[in-house]
Amino acid sequence: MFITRTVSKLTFMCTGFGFAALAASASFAGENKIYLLQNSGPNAVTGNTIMIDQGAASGSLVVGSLDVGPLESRLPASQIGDGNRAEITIADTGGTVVFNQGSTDSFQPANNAATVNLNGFLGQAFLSQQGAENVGALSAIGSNVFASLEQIGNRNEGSVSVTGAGARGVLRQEGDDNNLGLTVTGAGTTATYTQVGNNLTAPSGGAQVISNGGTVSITQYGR
Amino acid sequence: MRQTDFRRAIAQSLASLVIASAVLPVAASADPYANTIVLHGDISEDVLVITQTGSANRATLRIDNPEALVPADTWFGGAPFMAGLAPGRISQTGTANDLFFRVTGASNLFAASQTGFGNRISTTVHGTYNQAAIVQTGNHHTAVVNQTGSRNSVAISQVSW
Repeated sequence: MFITRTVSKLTFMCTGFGFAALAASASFAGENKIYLLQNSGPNAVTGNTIMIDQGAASGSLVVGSLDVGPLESRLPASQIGDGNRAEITIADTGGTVVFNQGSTDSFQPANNAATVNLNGFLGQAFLSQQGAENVGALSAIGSNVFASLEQIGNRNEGSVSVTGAGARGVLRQEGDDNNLGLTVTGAGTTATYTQVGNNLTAPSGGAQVISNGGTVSITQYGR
Repeated sequence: MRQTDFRRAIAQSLASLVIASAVLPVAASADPYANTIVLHGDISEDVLVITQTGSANRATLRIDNPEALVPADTWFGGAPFMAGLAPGRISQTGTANDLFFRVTGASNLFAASQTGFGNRISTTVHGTYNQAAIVQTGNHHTAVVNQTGSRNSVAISQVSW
């Protein structure tokens, strides 16, 4: 099956943040871990900056809480406030990023920006952003990688790109004047594409899925 | 970051503190930490250098550098800081080493490197314009970063061999 679908204007809704899709935990050689909380407080024009490079290390982890247990019960690595910047790169098998940028007001300009690049078998990236005028970009390359971006607010820009056999990509936006790009490439891939809001655009071509035997889920409705 | 920023940072330093702790096997010490360094107080505008080699070393640092003492808009860049590990730098090499530093104030520069296995760096920062660079090389390392304030920056590199 070969599917190419481009959507320029959508209003729809779908499943939430995909923790349930997490792969089972495994043991890796590197297993370096980062736990992060940055809080710029209210009314900060310029927030904080984080740059993370976890290279050549399998099983790398970026989260927000020290406790052990399943990822769905742990806090994400977080930048709280406005004007934050994050660049995260993970290379090698089984890297996992759970990251959140949040404004205290979902409708005021937050101007947060996050870029996550993941390269490796079984890599997982979860990025969520709250507030307006955020920019989120996820890229995951490798077999069975998973990337999920959720943006709540207006005038956000979101892009998700996953490449590899069994790769899965999730993009969810809720708000007005958002724009997005979702690209899923590989055998047996899964793409989930969700937008709720008005005046939505897709300047980079919208959703594109290139697969043979994958699943595409697009749900849209107005509000 | 421009090299001039590094030089300016160094030029601001009024003193240089160098501490080198010897290699001690864990079994030779009653202290669970073979070497322990604890520094508290106002060491603002100093360059702090700590080198620890061996296993189970521990360094605890508390830096109080009031924002009022720092020139306005003293802002250092990000990524290039990673390579050079410029001032104040803390280095631990070995297994199960532990570094904790707490910074309160503004425009502090920190660079910490750990090489080996199972090392841990924890940092708590309150203030503005603070910057930390952490390089961990090896396996099973942990970095914990908690920053409160604005215009702080942290760059973390974790690379296994």
